[in-house]
Amino acid sequence: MAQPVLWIDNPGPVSGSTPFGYFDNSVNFKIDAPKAAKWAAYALGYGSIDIEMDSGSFYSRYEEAVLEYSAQVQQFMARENMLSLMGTSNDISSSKYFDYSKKPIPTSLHRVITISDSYGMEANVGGNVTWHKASIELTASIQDYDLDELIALPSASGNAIEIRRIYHYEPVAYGYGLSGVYNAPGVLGSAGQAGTYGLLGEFGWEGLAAGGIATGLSYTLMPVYEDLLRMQAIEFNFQMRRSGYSFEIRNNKLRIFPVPQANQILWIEYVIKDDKITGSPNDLSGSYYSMGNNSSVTTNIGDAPLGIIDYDKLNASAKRWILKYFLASCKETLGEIRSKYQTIPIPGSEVSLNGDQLKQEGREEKQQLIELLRQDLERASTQIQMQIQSDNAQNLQEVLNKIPTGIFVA
Amino acid sequence: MSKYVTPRDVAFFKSINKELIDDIIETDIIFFSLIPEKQNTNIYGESVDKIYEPGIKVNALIQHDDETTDDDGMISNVYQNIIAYIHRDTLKEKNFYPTAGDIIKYYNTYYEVSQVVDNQLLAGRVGLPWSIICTAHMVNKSSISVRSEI
Repeated sequence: MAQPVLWIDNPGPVSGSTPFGYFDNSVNFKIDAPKAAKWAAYALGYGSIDIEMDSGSFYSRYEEAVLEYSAQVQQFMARENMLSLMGTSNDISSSKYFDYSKKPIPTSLHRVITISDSYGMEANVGGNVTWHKASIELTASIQDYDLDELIALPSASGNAIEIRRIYHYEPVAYGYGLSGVYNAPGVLGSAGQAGTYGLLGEFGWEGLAAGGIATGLSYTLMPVYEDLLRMQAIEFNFQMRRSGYSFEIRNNKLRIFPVPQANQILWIEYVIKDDKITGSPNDLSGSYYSMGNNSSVTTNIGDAPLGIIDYDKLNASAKRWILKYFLASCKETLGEIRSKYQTIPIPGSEVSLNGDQLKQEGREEKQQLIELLRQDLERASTQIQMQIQSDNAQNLQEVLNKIPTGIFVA
Repeated sequence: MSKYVTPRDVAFFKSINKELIDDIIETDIIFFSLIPEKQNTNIYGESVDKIYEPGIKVNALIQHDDETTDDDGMISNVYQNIIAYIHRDTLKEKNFYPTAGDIIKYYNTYYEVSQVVDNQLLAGRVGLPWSIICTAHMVNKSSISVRSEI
């Protein structure tokens, strides 16, 4: 004969009674769970009515409440720190693995830098995609060249390529020397370095005639930006005016303007389009792995190395939330039990229990508790905390401004 | 084993019944069981002095009619019918099964059982009898000789 499952005011042992046993080794959990069960049983009416749950049912609800708290907190932490967490090891056997539920999540710009790589690549100032270089031979009087045929097929194994740069001479080294300056046709004139010298000469500085190469000029101290501006001017001049050609690319067909008059080599730098998606290995030191080729790194909120929180370190307010959620969960479970049958037969009639009401209450209370916890977590976000600090500083400043300034009397 | 009304479900129903009848409603009645073999009968086989077993106290759900009075100018007779619903397990624990002729003492009044219905089955399953329903009518205490002790 089966015995009815009823709460007795003498809870059994916790270890081995919960479905997952996550907290079987937690001293405080084993102390708190029986107390919580007793508290919930009385809150549900024990003493006046029977509670159709045994201690194992209560303990499993308590474990669920702790796990829910942990999940909410860790999900918030993951959302708050996703950029820092992405790329960290989530392989527990790795020496680079850390469980960030037990230590602060490091603040890192790793992911930001990784993201900026792709911007850098597009801006031709770095990035994580390898540039390839190829050349085609321009033939006199032929204006159009098929890049698929000339580059993509032979050099990129038929992969789609993206042209990043075309030139028909090797980039020249910048010359700080006078030849680079004075030979720049039509750019510097008298406004460049020579112009500076000339101006000095016009002001009567002996020996400092325009284009002067007197050794004494070396002692004229000029600001650094003057040099930088000059370098840019020279480079632009070389790039834009020394080439008499321009081009356009349509449907991978390169058209050279004007029509080449002689055979010459045209250099093309390109990237393989797939490389822009897969990227290149981008190893960083510390706890971060390469994102490109390693499958044991955090890629999303679901595989971040955030374990279950340490129950023994929970503070009073956290435990209070857990207790409330636990009670709501017990209500839901008891409601399920009492509503398995719509009516219960009694001699000559039947009765309805309050299962549906308990279920509804339990679910609503759980939802409210989760919303409250999420609000609290949002208030603890870095952004809000910064805002609070800023507001406090401003408010403090306002208060201080209203303090009368003492008048000095000599 | 069936998926519904399992032994655990039956135990659950019983605990609900027990809680409802014994702990919440708490209406007790006392059964006095007639002892047929000890009846003193007259030459017509009528029992003029019925003998009952000591009372058995059980909790039950009671449904009672309003009292009616028959006043013939000489004396007033009061009539009332009740129906006692008793959980089978309760009776099983007491090792008692009521029959017609038994006396029920309820609220300091005595009623003689005139009908016993034993056909309520749990989930309609044979083998799971759930209740015994006794219909009884009020009798004068002077007309019966029950012992007050239980």
